Amino acid sequence: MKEKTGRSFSWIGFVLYAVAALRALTYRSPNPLDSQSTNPLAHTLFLAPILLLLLSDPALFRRFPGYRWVYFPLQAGLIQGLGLVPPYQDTWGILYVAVCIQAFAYLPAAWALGLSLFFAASLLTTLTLTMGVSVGLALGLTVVAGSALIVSNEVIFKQAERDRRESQRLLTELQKATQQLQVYTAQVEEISAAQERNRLAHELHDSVSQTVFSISLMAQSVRMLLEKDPAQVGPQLQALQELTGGALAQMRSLIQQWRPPAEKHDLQT
Amino acid sequence: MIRLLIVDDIAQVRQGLRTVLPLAAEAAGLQIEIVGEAKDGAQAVELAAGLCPDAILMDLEMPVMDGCTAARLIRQQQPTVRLVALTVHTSPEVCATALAAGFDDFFEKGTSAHSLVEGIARWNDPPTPVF
Repeated sequence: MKEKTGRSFSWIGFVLYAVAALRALTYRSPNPLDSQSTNPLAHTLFLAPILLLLLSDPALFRRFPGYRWVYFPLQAGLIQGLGLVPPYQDTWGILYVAVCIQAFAYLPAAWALGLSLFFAASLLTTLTLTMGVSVGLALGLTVVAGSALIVSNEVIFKQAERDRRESQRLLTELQKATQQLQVYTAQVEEISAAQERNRLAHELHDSVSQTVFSISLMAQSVRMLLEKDPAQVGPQLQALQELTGGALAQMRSLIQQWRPPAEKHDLQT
Repeated sequence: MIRLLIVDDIAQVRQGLRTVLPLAAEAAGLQIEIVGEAKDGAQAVELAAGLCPDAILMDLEMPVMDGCTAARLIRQQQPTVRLVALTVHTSPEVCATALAAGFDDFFEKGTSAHSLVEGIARWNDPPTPVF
């Protein structure tokens, strides 16, 4: 079954983006002396292209195979840039979740894992530098752990979906093959029945009908011999009797062949 | 005297024809002598070349060589021999095929001996005077 959107990540990616965007646009620095307590314009300059790039999945990925080598560095740079714009809000790192899911969908596994680790390291470093070691590490590790859980869940779910679709495809092919096999079986049965009918027709021609004709000739001979030479009738009648006996035996044999196997067994028992 | 070669793959049919045809011919005021018997078309061609019969009574469906093939070969060797087909297959197509192969007449197995003798002896009738 084809996905409705075809994207590599589900609605979770957009929910996390919405959370991060909302937080970025409304965040106020805890320092009252900070002249830039909020910076929605600067944050928007990063958030808008991040969203546009997210929306390019899967159209551009599928049309341009080399797009991924531009997308991931660009997206990583934008998300990292968002994290470096003061006032330093604490939820921008969750934007990496959708990008990591995309990495596992469009990059080789080793590359995706490497990119995810790079994002984790980048996040921890940035948070540590902007919020202090203890707060940055605590927050960063929390975001990394939660992201890892979501990413692995999404990746496993997508893989399960792919496996389910593949199973469904194979099942459909198997059903078609089974139907085709049934059609072929019916055709083979028909051909076999026709061949059997032909064989029996030939046997009838070769055996019974010929024997009956021979009996007819013998009977005519007997009739003419009765008038011409009665002494010769005896041997002809003897030959006639043998012919009729042979015809009966042939008929019994053919009838026995025509009988269904179950009926043959009943007769024998 | 009509010298007749009988050709049929079934021994009982050959036996029946061998017995009844001379009797039926005698009853009709004719004489038929069975000069040979063949069990397939190839043997029929060989015997026909050797015996030069006046008439050949031949089945159509036989092993080795069927009646129509044998008839074509015999007709090439002996254009004047009387060829009569005798078969269980009575469809118009089979009849047309037999006549096209060179048979002079066509009878179903089941025809009376009297009719067979008439068919065999038909070429012996003198031509009807024109005037």
